Order: sequence, then C-alpha cells, then structure tokens
Amino acid sequence: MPAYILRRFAALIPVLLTVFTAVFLVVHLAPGSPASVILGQEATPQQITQLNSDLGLDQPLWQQYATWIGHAVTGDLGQSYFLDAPVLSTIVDHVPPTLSLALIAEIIGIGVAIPLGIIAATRRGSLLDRVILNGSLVGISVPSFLLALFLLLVFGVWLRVLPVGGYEPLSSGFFTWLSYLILPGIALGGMQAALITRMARSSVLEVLGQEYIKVAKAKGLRTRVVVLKHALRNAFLPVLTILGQGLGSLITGAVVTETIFTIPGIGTLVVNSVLHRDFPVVQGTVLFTTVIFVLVNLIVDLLYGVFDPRVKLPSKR
Amino acid sequence: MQNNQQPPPTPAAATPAAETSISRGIDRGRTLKRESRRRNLRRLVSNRLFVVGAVAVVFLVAAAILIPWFSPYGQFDMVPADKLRGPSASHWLGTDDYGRDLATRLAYGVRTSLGIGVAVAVSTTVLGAVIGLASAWFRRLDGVLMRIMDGLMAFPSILLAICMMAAFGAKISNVIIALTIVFTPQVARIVRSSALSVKEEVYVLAMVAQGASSARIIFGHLLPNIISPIVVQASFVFADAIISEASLSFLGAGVPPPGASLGSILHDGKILIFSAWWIVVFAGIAIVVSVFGLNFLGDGLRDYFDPKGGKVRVVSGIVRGQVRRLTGRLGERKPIPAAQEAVAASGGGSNA
Repeated sequence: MPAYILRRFAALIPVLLTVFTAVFLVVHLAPGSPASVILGQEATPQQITQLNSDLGLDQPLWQQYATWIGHAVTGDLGQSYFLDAPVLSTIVDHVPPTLSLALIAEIIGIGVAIPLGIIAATRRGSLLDRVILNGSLVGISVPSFLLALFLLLVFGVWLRVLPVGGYEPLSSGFFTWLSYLILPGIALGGMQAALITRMARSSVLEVLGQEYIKVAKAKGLRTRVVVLKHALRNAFLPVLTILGQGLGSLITGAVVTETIFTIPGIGTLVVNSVLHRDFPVVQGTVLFTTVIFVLVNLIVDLLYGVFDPRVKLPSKR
Repeated sequence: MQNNQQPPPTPAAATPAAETSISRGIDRGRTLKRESRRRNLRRLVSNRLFVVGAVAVVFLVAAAILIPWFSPYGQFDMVPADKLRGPSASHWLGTDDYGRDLATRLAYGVRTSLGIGVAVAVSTTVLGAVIGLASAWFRRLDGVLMRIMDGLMAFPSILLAICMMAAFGAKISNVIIALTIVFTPQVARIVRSSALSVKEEVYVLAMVAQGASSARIIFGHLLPNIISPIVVQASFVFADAIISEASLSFLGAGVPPPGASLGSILHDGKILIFSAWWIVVFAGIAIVVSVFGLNFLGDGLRDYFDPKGGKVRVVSGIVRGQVRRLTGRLGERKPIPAAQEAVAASGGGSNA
C-alpha cells in the first residue's frame, strides 16, 4: 500500500506541473501589462517601465516562470496588487467561510441523499421511487446558482425568515452561523444530493441482488440489518466516486453561491480579484483551489481501499 | 487426413457459389441494418425523455427566432417611464430597470446562450476529436497529450474559465475560447478511449497490414466508428456550456453589457431581486428549460446510439458518464482477445 500511495503521488507531479504552467501562461500572456493595471490609465511610460522592473516583469518569460514556480512551491504566491497583503494569507483568511459552506452542503447532500437512495432502492418501482428518481433528475439539471437565487427569493425576500446574505463565524454562536449558511448550503448541496441519491439507489439495488444478501435474509436477519449493514457498506464505493467527482462541482458552485449570498469566502475573493484584475490573487487562488481539489481526489481514491480491501491489489503488482 | 482422398474443390467451381452466398449475406446484413435502424428510431421517438427534450429545445429556438420578429420592442430600447413593470399585457414578462422589455431581452439572451453553446460544442468536439485520435493512434504523443489534458481537467472548470476571462477580458469570443479549453479534455479522453478499443479491432489491424496510411485509417475507419459517443458527448458539452456561460456572465466575467445572455440577465435580476422578482424567475426558467431540454436530448441520443449503455442508465438510474466507469470490463466489447489472437497468429506465422 505505501508503494501504491507513493506512485499515486508521483503521478500528480506532471498534473500539477501542467496546472502551474497553465495558470502562469494565462496570466502572463494576457494583453495589457500588470503595471498599467496597478497604475491606472494616467501612468507615464517611465512609471510603467519602472514598476515593471520592480516586479521583475522585464525578465525573460522562462526566468519569470522559474522564479514564480520556485516561490509558489514554497508557499510564496506573491503580493496582491490592491489588498496590500501577501496572497497566501489573503487566501487563508477566506478559507473558513468556504469550508463551512462546503461542510454544510456536504452534510445536507449526504444526509438527504443516502436515505432517499435506500428508500428508493428498497421500494423499487413504487410511486415513492419514481418521485425520488424524477426529483433527482430535476436536481441534477438545475444549476446551483439558480437554486440559490430561488431560495433567496422565497426565504429571504418573500418570507423573510432567513438572512439574504453575509456570514457570521462559528464563534458568534452555532445557530447564527447556521442561519447564514443554511440557504447557500441547500443550494450547493442540492445538486450533490441529486447525484448521490441516484448513485446510492442504483448501487444498493445492484448489491441487493447478490447472493450474500439472500444468505443474510435466509439467516433470518431483519431487513433493516440486511440493508444497513450488509448492503450499504458494499454499495458505498460508487457513492464515494460521486463524492470525489462532486467536489469539482462543489467548488464551482461555491464560487457562484458565495457571490449570491455575499459570503466572504474563496469564491468571492476570486470573483472580486477578477473584476479588479488583481492577477496575483487570481493566480494564487486558482492554484490553491486546484491543488486542494487534486489532493482530495487522491484521498478519495485511496479511501477505496478502506471501504473495499480488494482495491488494495494494485500494490502487489 | 482421410479427406485427402477426395479432390479439393477447384477455385473455379467455388467462386459462383461463394459469390451468391456473399451477396446473400450482404443483402441479409443490409436488411438487418435497416431493420435495426428503424427499431432504434422507433425507440428514440418512444423515449419520453428524448421527446420532452426535443420539444423544449424546439420551443426555445422558436421563441428565440420569433419573439424579436413580433415584438414591438428592440433589445436595447430603453423606456425609463416603463422601468421595473411587472408582467402585463403590454410587457408579457415585465421590464427591467432601464424599461427594456424582458421577453425581448430573454429571446436575444437565448440566442446568445445557444449560439455560444453551439460554438463551444462544435469547437470542443473538433479539437477533442483531433487530440483524442492523435493520442490513441500515435502512441508517442499519448503521454504528453494526456498529461496536459489531465492537468487541464484538474482545474475546477469555472475557475479556469474565470482565470482566462480575467486575463483576456469579457468578450463573447473569449467566453467561447475559455469554455472550449475547459471542455476539450473530457471530449479528448472519451474519443481516445473509444478509439483505443476500435484500434484493436481486426479490421484495423488488417488495414495496417495492407500498408494503409495513418490518415486513411484514422479518418476512414477510426473516426466513423466512434462517431456516436462523440455526438452524445457534444450534446452534453452543449448543455454544460450553457450553464458555464450563464455562471460566467452571472459573475460579470462573461458576455459584457449591454449584450443579453441568460447569465447576464440573471445577473441584473439578482441586483433587483427585492424590487423585481420576475427577472430572476423568468431568466431562471429559460435556463432550466434549455439545460433540461439538452440533457434529455443527450440521454435520448445515447439510448439511440448505445442501446445497452442507455438501458443500464435508465433502469438503474446511473448518472451520465458513469456507466462505463462503473461497469468497467463488463460493459466492454471484446475486441482485445480477438486482436491478440490475430497478433499471436501473425507472430506465429512469421516465426514459422
């Protein structure tokens, strides 16, 4: 297993190198020099040249690239043009709201989806099953930002029962924290829930047809025990795949959902820095998020081994 | 051994019989093909999802074409006196904060969004097919191309698109370029894996043995045989591109004002959500209808082209793209043993 993990980490190197290069190239091939962005329209050519050499932007591209990568791997993502702070600490400041949001979304997603999936699978073909299946199809097709806007409209504007935006840290009380995150959490968790419901239903159905389930039933175990203990554990693997893949849509959704609910997280940071053309922050945030995304996907892959020991086989090759 | 006593059939005697049997076989094959095509078409039309999707898409396209024709308002016509009016007889879907007619704006928005969707779907498909086929056929390119694709796929899609929009500026052409770069890797991966399995088919080996050029094999044999997964994938890219464009424009990094796209109208609607609910609601409905329609259409097409995969999907409710991944070897056709057999046979032959 350790050899397998090491190999998986080694396989990440080319992927991350592509990610670094792509981010670097996109920003550096952009028309308009960062100096003119910082100094504004009225800057003299001398000022621009001066700032360019201060920022090291007059060096050859490959040299800038080498310097940037060297700094980036040590965690130095540069200085924000507008926020007057290092990019990394800016990002770290914006992590807690996003993390809270993702956590709530994931809890809502899994908490709703797994029971629904099991119910649909155990009552296959019933009206309830069809309602759940069609509902999940709707859930998959509705983008999270639309769901967010509708929730905002109904609960924030029409019913006025929940705050329409903003964020309070957990330290100001659990329920206050939750009241700000529940709508965005539902919006973000909705699509996840729809995906997981369908996957849970199909994988439980598949497992329920297996011989060992018949044996468990023949032993006289109660249906609940059979489903929860024998079926669910084995049905969890495909669900795990969806969880890992869903992370991408979770991040994407978080960017938009945060903007809608004005939550000061990574998504809002990215959007604001895009609008201000604050390139170091855009670059840093995209890089940071992508690295996290890649690592979490790797962890999900490795978790297969925990849920299904048969997956450990590759290390023996 | 005993049969040696009998004279072997002369070629002259065998040919007419063989010819009739071959032509009978071809006829039979054609009939079967025609029958199966008719059966598939029936299945396509009886597939409720496909029909619903097709109706939704036709409805949207019709609205996008017809409303600007019949509407007395232009998409940029500002009437300050009429601003923020709710749905009424003169403005069916209400007006926005500049007094522009929402129905007309939405029709133009659907045009823009569908246009971007088509452009992204076409360019992604062409680029993805070229990259996928190249890496499947030329093994030397495979490593490099696929590592680059992996790297691009590692980005959460909207972030890469946002990054590019930040760098190159908010313009429709840049939206198309950014989304093409974002969606190409997934098409390339699917094309590559389909092409790899076709590559092992005996008829491709036969072409290689005959000395056919790479271009002839790729465009004459590989591409035609993987066209159905490409078409299905293109329909999903179409739907995804519409959502992504809407997200980008919603964030202010897509179609710039005063141009209308579904996302930019929604963006305006969000700002006015307290005073004008109808903008968000109707723009939202337009997005949902287009995405639903295209996804259903894609599902229907998948059922049509790939009855087995489609069936699995409908029966067990597996989400799109998952079938192959989950069923793994089970769902695969069996070209590899046959190909290996052929290779082994040719290898054995040359040794002898």
